[in-house]
Amino acid sequence: MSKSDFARASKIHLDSSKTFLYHAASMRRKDKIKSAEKLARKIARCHKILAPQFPDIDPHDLDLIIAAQLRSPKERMQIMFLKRRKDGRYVF
Amino acid sequence: MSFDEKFLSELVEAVSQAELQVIVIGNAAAILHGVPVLTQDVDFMVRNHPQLEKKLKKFAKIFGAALTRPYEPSSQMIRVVGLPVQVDFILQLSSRKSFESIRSRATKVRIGKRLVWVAALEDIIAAKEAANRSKDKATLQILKESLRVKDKLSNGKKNKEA
Repeated sequence: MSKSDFARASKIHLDSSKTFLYHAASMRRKDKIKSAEKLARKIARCHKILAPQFPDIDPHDLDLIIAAQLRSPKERMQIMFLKRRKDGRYVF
Repeated sequence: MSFDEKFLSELVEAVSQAELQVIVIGNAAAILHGVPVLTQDVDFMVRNHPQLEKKLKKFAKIFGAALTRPYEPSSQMIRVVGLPVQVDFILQLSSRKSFESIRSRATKVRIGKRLVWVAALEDIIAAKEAANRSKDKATLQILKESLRVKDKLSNGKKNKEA
């Protein structure tokens, strides 16, 4: 294989890997959006059923509570701590 | 894995290595029950026995941290200093309920490779009501509301299954 052939083949390989990576990332994004939309629909459905039963709970608080309840314990562990950075700001 | 999950897993692993018997309490436990709050520390209720100090020292040694009693001499709490997030071991809750009593209502949750007792939301609320501090009062409403919604959702689930 000549140098130019090798360079061309490497370029094709690199391009196809880039395409594959881009495709995988885009699929992950699509899956993420899909599951986020699914969760949003589920929260809205639960809210519709529960809101008349809890008129004393603020609707925004109720949304937060439902969203937190619908998460699995593993997902709940993802964000637990409120931490102060050295610059004084708080991060999650 | 987020920092929070990793840190919690490491804590639980160290607790297990030090052979400590603990129950997760406070806001960390509330979060594990699905209450939308955040916390600045992890509170463990620990069974008090003669070997406790030795085991706590072993726990602190794993992290290269130090143990302190913040409000000596009557403190019912041992604080671990030197960790990215503060960790407190509580010997007695403000609600005066015993370790066995809290554990009888607690649920087991998998954190990392280990199963850990997590205090019931009712017991967390009772402890915060008894403590009566401003920071506890601030979260009481959302804790109570979450408990009501949680009960309703689990009742609905049970009825659906039946």
